Amino acid sequence: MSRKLLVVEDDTITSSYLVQSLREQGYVVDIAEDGREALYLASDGAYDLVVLDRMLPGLDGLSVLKALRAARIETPVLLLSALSTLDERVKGLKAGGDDYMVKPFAVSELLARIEVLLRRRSAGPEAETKLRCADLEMDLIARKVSRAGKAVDLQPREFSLLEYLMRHQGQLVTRTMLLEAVWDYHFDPQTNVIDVHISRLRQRVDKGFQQSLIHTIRGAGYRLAAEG
Amino acid sequence: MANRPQSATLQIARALIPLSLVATLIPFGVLYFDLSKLHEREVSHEVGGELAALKAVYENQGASAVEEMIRDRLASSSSGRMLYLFEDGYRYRVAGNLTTWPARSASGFDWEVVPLSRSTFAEPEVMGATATELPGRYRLLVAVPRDEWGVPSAMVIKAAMLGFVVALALTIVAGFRVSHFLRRHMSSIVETAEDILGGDMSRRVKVSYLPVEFSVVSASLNAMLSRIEDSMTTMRAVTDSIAHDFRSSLTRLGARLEMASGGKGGEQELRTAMRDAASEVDTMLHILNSLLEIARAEAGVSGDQMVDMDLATLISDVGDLYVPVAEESGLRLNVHAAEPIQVRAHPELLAQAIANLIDNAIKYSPRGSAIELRASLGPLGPLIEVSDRGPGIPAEARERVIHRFVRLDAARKSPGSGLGLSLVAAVAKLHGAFLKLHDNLPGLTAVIQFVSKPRRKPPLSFLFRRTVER
Repeated sequence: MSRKLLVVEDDTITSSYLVQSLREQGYVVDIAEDGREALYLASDGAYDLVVLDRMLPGLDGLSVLKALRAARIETPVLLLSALSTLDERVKGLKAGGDDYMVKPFAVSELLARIEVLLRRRSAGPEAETKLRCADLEMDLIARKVSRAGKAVDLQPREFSLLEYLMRHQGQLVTRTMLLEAVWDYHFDPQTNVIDVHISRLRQRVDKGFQQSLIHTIRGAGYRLAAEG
Repeated sequence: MANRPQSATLQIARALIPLSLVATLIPFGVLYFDLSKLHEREVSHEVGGELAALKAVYENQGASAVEEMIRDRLASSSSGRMLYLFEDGYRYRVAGNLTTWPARSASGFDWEVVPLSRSTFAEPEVMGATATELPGRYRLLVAVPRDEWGVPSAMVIKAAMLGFVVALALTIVAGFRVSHFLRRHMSSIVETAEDILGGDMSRRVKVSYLPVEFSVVSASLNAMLSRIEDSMTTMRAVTDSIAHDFRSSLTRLGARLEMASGGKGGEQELRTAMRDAASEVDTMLHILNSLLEIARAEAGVSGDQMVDMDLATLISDVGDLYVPVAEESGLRLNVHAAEPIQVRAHPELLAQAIANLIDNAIKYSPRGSAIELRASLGPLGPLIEVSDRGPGIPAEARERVIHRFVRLDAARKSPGSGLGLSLVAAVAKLHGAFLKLHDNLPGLTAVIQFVSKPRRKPPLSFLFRRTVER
């Protein structure tokens, strides 16, 4: 079953570009060009996710979001905004947004985040105690990792990094997502800090095994999966 | 109408008028009071004398002589202002021109101010009176109406009026003088403002000849003007640099795309061209983001974003992020954070500033050397140091590299936007801290120095001196 997305964006060039990319990924996409239309379309809760621009004619994005949440519509909302300050990000998330992206953004990043939000929803909230990918196992309670039965020694950060990858296995995760999730930093470091950490993690997890689990997706990010 | 702006003269005069009124009325009031007391005493003495004389006549010659004498005095009008009442034992008026004995008074009393009437139908007047009881149940009263005590009220009132008019005139003159004074000293400020409106940003208010109140205002104005001029100069420099960087990036991008679209190359060549173009766009986005971040840091953050936090934890977190990166480049990153150091800061921005410093250190360090990241408590307050063993920065260039887009010629070829240090400086400033670059002999030490106690407002003399020196 394909997922239904609503894109709320008043700039037609951006929105048509977005919609094209999303449709290529197999999503069913509707477009709203202003806040009122967005609220009207989203108010039945039939969408799996809403991509919502903050600056809209008529009703602005935050008001739409607040109105939806007030009406108990819990559809995940990814906010897009040219407002990049932390204050703005916090405001967006407080209003009930599930994620926040600053324009200009890379489409691959947006797709990755959409995928994460959609999966999070279908996964449900039940607490897991063990994560598994092929022969890699993570015990969340004992905070131990093993591959093919052999213990893998990890630093606390490496553990968090691997945990994030395992929770999103099969999905593309971008460098920004990792920096946000594992280190809680929202800036863009000049050097490829994340690449270095991933390559260390690879040394511990993949080295000496025939099957690689951590895959680099060129120009986009990483994916943890049993198959390439 | 009510809100029409008024001249200072009018306002000052209006504020001073009640004051001058009070100032003139009080002395004249006191004078009037004392004068009337004085006259009252005189009149009472006169009345006492007259009464004593009449009493003597009574004692020597009897009631009829007194009666005669009073009649004579009234008839000849030589009595002047005095009024009499001479009654016999039946309280029947024997002689005099007053009708009744004062209601609540005894037969004899010494100087009372009471209402008395001259005739049955006349209104009672306020009079000062003295009375005495005479043998044979006669009694005698001598009075003088208050109006005739001879207090010079008219004179006093006239003098008071004159005084008030003079004070009023002086007040208005003072108003004019003050407003003239204000205008005269304001004019140098106004002239400067007009010159600046005319485009000469370098003009400043002359402070030296102004009275202190004005020089304080002018000094603040001058400081503000300098700040604005600085920002404008910086803004112009930044705009020029952005224009330069973006124009060259866009030119390369345009050329690359044009070549690709016009060329006869295969798909492989097209892909390469696209990738180059994309990386060019990435560079521009990176520059743009850095500029936005600096602007954001310079604009300040709302207070609720600042939290009490521990510098030691912060630098070990950032260090933790960068230790592997340093190792990858064949460097060691040593983190020294022995004890907790509390500061009030924006954790995210501060982390980014430290990350920028480490990025720089990694970029310029020779392989095999060490980078030291340290948080400590110095004499001025908490500080964060990042030291490397790279080529360092010549002393004369250290101030300059903090500015936006400045890259030393040696660094032109390596990647980077030239914005890293200006972001660090902006973040430091936001925290009331400053960025300082030192020689690490060899290498560079970058210090973010917090100034622990909030600095007091500079004393006026400081402001004054600084502006005069300009």
